[in-house]
Amino acid sequence: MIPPVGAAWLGAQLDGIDPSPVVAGAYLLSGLLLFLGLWFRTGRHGNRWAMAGIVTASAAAVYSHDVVNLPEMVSAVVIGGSIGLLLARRSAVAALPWLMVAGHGLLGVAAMAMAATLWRNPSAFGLTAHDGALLAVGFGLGATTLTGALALAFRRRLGELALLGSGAGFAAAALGFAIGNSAMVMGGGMAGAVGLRLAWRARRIASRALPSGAGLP
Amino acid sequence: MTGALALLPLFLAACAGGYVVARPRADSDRSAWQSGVGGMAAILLVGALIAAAEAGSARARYIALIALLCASVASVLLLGVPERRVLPDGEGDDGMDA
Repeated sequence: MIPPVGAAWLGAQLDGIDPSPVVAGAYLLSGLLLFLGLWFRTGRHGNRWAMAGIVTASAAAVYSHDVVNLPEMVSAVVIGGSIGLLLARRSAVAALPWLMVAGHGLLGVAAMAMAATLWRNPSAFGLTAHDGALLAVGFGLGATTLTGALALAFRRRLGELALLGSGAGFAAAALGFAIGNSAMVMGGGMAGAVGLRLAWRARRIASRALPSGAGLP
Repeated sequence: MTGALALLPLFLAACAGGYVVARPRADSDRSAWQSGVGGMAAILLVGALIAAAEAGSARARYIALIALLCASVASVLLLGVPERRVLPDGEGDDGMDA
């Protein structure tokens, strides 16, 4: 049975309530900015389109929800942002790729913690019993991303970084499905697909680089 | 779950867009960690914000704040690190370009 759709295509539809046009438009704009960030990622400032998209979606999320603990949220964002900014600005150049690995690992932790929050408090988010599978997928992908980041860090290999981005992206998409957030679904889907294709391409290039008969007795 | 099914077309369109954009030879002049692809996954920050905003019980709120803290650090790292100017010989500047 295909559910009735309409404005839900454009944004969150929780408890049968269609999203506000402003919020739905902001989420769509965010998805477009994220796509532009991917499209121009080879350029010097392509990454800033993605920043604009995430800021737009974050502003729409805060605007459209009943925020019960704003001081704690602002504190968490300021403390976390300061730590990230300090690390990104002051670390040695050789450490920058490992900061990316650490960032993906932290996203895995965030996905696991977000899934745990939704699981502990389903009524606040309008979740039903069917959404448990989505929460499990989000939690599992977050745990996989964290494990992969730890494995890359310990083995000192960067070859599978795109796969970490894919895992974190699909975790975001699964959790976005659970809470009905179109920006997370779009951004997570794009990140997941891009990561999968880049990882597949890197694997093909690596296998072609081996000389014929390599590894054979 | 109704909302989830309604969002499925957007998800499929986003996956198709991402697959098309990750075209071959797009990243030939920059290494993988500099390409900015990792920043896409930072959209998880939005979910952490919503979770922290709506969490009712005290324990759920603490877990959501942990999620928000981790997502904030990760977002700044994944979006900020590729902004560092790194010269081809591995030398870099002393900060970001912003």
